[in-house]
Amino acid sequence: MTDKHAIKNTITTPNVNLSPGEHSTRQFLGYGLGLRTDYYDIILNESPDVDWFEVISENYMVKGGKALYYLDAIRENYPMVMHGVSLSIGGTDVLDIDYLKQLKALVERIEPCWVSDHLCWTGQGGHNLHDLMPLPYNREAISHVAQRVQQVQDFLGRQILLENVSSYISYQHSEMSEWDFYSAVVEEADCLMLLDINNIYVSSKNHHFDALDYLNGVPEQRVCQFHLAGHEDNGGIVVDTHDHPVADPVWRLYESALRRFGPVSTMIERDDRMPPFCELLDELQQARDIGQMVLGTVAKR
Amino acid sequence: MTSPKQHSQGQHRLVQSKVVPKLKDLQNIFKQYLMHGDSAIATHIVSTKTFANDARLAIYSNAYYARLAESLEKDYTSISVLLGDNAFYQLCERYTDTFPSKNPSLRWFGQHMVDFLSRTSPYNESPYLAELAVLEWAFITAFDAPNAVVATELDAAQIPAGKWPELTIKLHPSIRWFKYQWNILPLWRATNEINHDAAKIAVPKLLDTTEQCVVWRKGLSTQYRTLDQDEAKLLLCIAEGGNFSQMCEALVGLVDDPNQLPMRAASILKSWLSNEMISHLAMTEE
Repeated sequence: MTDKHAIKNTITTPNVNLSPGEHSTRQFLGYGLGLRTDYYDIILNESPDVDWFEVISENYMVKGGKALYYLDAIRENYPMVMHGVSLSIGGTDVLDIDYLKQLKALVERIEPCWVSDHLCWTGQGGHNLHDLMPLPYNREAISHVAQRVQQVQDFLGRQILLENVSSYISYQHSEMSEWDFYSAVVEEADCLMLLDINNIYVSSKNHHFDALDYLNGVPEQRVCQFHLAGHEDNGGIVVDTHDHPVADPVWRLYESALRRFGPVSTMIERDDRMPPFCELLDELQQARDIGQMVLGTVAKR
Repeated sequence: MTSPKQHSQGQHRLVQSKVVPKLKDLQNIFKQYLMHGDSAIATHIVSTKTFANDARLAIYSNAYYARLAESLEKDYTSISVLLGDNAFYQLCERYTDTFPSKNPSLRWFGQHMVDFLSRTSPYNESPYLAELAVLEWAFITAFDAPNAVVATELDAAQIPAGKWPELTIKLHPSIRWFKYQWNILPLWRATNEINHDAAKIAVPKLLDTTEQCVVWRKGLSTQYRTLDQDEAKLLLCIAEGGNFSQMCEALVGLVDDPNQLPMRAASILKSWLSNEMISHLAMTEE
């Protein structure tokens, strides 16, 4: 498969295409968007200036029809990464082997640059809750998740990325901060990080911590991707909704993240109240401009 | 839509658990709260001055039903329009309690709707709801059914005359067909019009005779139409493994002149080929 869009750059960090444990270089894909049905035709027909697309893995775990047609056609023109919502890596049911087989088949079909899911649980006792449920931040959960990540990585033959989720509750029996927990999991599991900047902001508001402490508390070399998205701030609590443009405080946090981590592949998630595609392109340009400003500054140093 | 199941606030903030539950138990307790409203989870959740634990938990419980209802609304648009927002949300809650999701993908969550509407009061007192669910689920399953090569009229033209009686036919994997007794096709069309006018939506009405509908995918586009009686007979014959000769026999009684049976069967087959409903024509080996 040939990509018209060349990989932008490489910097030294773990490489997801290697077997777990092997480290080499991190791909910098540039600036991407989520592949959503509303935009299939415009992406296919107009080849917009987007460096790469992120696809929701579960949306393409089907046998045929429109979704796979557009997936294959758009993949011909753009690099892709896969992002799942149902792995339930923090769940306590045994890993769903049928799901993993479908995931692996999709990996083989589109050859993504990497595969990610969320640091959470999504079901229990055979029931799927279809939500990203937070974990308690304690030793038991670290060991549990790390062991399951290793199983998944062995099955897929590659490292995976785990994303931090937004949360609205914290458990009485958590023993550490979210970023210490997240760092411990990825170190013990030897996996990589998809840092959702909006989720850090949302959780920092809901749990009253400093978002910069979060950024400074995670291992730089394991961060492979950023998510940006909109949220809803009702004053009492901030909800991760993906139905608004990226908010100003999140842009500022993104700037801080770039200063801390350097060039990291960045994408904007939009899942509801879908705007005209040109508005998403404008928003993506804002990410590019911030990247240029910050990374240019870094380079001059 | 409003949620009658929105959980109340202000009941649990002072109670804290001293027992550290195992991860599996904690998740089970949380799930029981989401699915059944069991409040035991609250003792494991931190309250803050600005936002109490029960209000924080309510975000998850409200999202649980809302997300699943949103999925069902997309799958069963006609039913949601006919019932209206509040009644449909209540239906969704009852459905969710009866058939909680057991698949990682929401794609499959609505798969029991026909069964649910057929068995559950008061919905089973309006049988057109279950019939509409059959139609809407057929659209969903045809939409992403497996891809297959499509046989053409050219393929049929290359079959020697002597091979036709033994000819077997493979339908496209997206084809599904079903009987119905209510005016579900006009109901579906009216409720799926953009900016539909609720006052102009057809009234559910029992048909004079039972009809059949076929749903399939042509290219990337999902199609539907009513089936003539002879077409329905042929589809059934093919589904049961019948060859062309047996297809002709299936038409006995439906075609006035027995000599015209092969012509009628071939004519129907030609129409199906042009509509991409056939994936393969197989001749027996010499």
